[in-house]
Amino acid sequence: MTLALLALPFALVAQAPATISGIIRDARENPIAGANVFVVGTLDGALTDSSGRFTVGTPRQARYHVAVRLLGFRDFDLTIADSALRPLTIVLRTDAQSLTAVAIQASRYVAGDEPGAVLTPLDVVTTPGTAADVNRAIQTLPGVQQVDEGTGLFVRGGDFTETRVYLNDGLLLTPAQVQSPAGTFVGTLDPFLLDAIYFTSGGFPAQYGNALSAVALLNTLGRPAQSSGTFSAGLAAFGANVALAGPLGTGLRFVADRNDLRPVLRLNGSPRQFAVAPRGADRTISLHWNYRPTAKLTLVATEQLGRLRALNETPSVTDTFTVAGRERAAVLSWRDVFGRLSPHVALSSSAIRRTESFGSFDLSSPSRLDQAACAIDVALTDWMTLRAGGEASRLASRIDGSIPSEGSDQRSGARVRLYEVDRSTPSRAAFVELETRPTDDSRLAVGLRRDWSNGVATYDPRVSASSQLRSFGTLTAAFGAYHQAVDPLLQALSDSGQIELPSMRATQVIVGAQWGESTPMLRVEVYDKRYSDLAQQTRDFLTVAAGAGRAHGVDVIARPPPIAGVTTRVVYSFVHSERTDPNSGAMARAAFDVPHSLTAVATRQVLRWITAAVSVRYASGRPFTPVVGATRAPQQPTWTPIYGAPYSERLPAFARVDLSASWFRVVASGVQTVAYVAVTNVLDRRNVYTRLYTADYTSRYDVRSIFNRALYFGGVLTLGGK
Amino acid sequence: MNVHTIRRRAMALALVLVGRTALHAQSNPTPSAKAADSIRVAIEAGVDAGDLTAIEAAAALAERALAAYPDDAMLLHYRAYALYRAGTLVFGRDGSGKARPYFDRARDILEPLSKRPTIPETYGLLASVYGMQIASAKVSMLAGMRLGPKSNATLDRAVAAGPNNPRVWVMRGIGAFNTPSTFGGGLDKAESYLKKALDLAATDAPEPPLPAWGRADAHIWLGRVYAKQKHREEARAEFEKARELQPRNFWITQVLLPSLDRQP
Repeated sequence: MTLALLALPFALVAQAPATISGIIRDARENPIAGANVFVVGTLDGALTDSSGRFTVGTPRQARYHVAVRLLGFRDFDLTIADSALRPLTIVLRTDAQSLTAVAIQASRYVAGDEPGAVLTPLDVVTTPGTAADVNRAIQTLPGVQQVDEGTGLFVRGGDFTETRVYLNDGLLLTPAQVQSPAGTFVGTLDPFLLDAIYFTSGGFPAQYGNALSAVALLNTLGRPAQSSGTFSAGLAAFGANVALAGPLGTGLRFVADRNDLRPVLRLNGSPRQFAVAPRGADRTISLHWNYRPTAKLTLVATEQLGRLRALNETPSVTDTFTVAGRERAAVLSWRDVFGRLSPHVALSSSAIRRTESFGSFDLSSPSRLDQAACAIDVALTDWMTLRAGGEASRLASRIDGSIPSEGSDQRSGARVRLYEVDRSTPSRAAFVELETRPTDDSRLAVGLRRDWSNGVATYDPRVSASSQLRSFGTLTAAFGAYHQAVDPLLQALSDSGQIELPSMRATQVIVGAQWGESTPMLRVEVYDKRYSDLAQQTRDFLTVAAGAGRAHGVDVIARPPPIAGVTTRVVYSFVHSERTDPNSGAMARAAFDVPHSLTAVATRQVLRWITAAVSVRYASGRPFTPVVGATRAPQQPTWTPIYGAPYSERLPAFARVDLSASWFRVVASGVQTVAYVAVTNVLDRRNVYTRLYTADYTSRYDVRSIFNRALYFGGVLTLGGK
Repeated sequence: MNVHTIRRRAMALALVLVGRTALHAQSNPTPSAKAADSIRVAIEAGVDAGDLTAIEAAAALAERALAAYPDDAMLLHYRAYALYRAGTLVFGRDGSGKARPYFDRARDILEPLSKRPTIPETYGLLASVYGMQIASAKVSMLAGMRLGPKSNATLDRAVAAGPNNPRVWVMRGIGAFNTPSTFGGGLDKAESYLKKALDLAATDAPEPPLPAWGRADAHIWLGRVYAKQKHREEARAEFEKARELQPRNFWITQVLLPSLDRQP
């Protein structure tokens, strides 16, 4: 106060100082202690006492700019005339940066460092059984069904091709596969390159389209602040990760890994016979230029190679199944902020070359997607943001090879259909979305997306809302329509030949609630999805259009309070999914209708430097259509099966327990090591990959998953900072 | 003259008078520099007395000054420093849960600041904040894996920016004291870093508003090193030297010296 008096202009010294006083409360009318109340432009101020009261003396002025600041609450500013001075009652609103309805959005889950994240970046690499694979980590989030042990993302009763994956907002290809309907077993982006994963299992905003079920946004690490190097070696993989901080805001990251399952199979054995065990390599480089504090210019290029050869059986033939693939992607993204405008541009190219052969099945299906996308955020007011943008893309694909005419006869030399198809599919899209905060504790986003594909326009309205209720929690809701163009491979296999199949359509309605923020926390969501115009593949490798479907279910994630130092997360998903069976035309269970999926992960720090974790996974068995008999015409070498009711039986339930332990040690300043050991499928449960029949279909037998009990170990050496 | 200009001028005048003690030491200090120095003095007084309210008041004072000079590096540094000091006091009294927001906020301020030209102490402070975030994390090992390399790198940056800055060496010594030798720290390293800090402090004469602490801290932590090594008399000598510099220091008089007397 004395100091403030000294500051007075001489002309004002004669006047008595002004006194600004009052009380500060929160929205629930509780007094707030420790808030910093002051007159802007002076150092005059005070901290509120335990009853929320304050008194500030300041030189008399015509008007006073009173500011209130407190961590966790929104800034409060008030200009008051000297003649109007009176005791103030100020209500502080919760800060938008804290976890409120703004951060909690329907079906949106974050793996990163930000508030409200359900997984940390370390969880992605340390969850037992995920093998440091990004897709497998996403599979532990609510809404993802554990259909089998592949890396496909089957979300809320949908096929894995209904989930789109973006790298720095550049779209990656998720092509349909004829012989591996659950997706590949290994090989997505190196998780150590990722800064955060934003996974939305439904109700995603208008910015994202051409997906019926879900989107996963993978954001890579930014420019390294310090140069560093990381070298890792394990039983089946080794790699290096180098980060270089350059001058003038530049930087570089480079990651290279090689993996080969042979040592693991040699040590632990395998229920499968591999001529070439799964192996591959990946390399990724990212270049960064932050040419001013708000600007980020990033180029990420990645290449992944993989192949395997394994003995495979069907009733008609036993042969070596060979698959080899190369996936490449490059994304150039730019983001900046100019006052209230925040533009963003992403140019991406994603290419996949895959060859598969087995019996008379011999297919090469290279495809390439080039896309340009741009968006701009305009902060209209402090509580309203307009987002608009567009994208243009071209999907070039080639289908080359032979596919058996009948799924029941895949012998070499069997009757086949030959394909030599080149397709080029241009598409465009535009979207607009208005995001508002009608009250301090609520959020409403309304958007519309228009897609042009094959000369046909589709319109997708999207609405998402959330509201934080007093002493209850946060309620969320979302509604939207979603379209997805038919995959070129399925298009090529359709009876309609060159006639373009219409885009598939889905509508989603989601309602949810969350109690708590990080730990303890409980989040529950229920949803209903309706499908139309579905294009699906028959067992004879033909595409049938105009399918319908429905899925509904409930997803739960809980983080109970730690007990005896053990932190836990439990994720449970229930789904009932049914679709038109493409073989019979009848409505039946979907091929990936897995009613119950449960994942529980417990982590505990042992001593000071060891972290131990256990994960338990359970999932209902995948449905299949049983064979109830078989016929064989004279002169025919193979039997033709007679199928029962579509998807009327299930494989045995899937269950797995995995353990891991990691030991961290700093060797010297800037040098640290991590050693880890993992045991997968500790109980050596015989999970079933598929069920097969003998050649005459009189008896059937199970094909076991390749993931039996296995020991894995390795280490990581890091030099320098992050 | 618009309202904003009037406010800036009034603020400047206020800060000139507030920072009058600094006027004697600096020929032409800016108003924000004078405010920063006043805040520095307020923080040190609060730390000296172990008075959380005084430190929080100093942090609030920095916030008020930042309302007028939002990008001033020294004001940002001292706001973060006050939060760090408050956090460490809360950590000792109420545990990690209540201390965590102080360190989170300090880090939010320091990380952008460390990307601009700044004083070596800012890097050292950021490294210390990382250290306290590790100590106060729910699973400190996981936090250590994430923040440990950052802390080390930032401390290295501090040493590179201020190789002859005694406060940097004090912070390095504290880091080594709190880190087991198997993790790259240890008492021997702490002792050598703190002795180097004392050597440098003998000729250290920073001008306001630059940080001027360090000498008493080096004696305190060197005393703690000796106490841990069971060299009670050497420890007492260091604590006494610290008390000569800061006779009212709560930690020295009420905690460290009495604990030495209770040592078997």
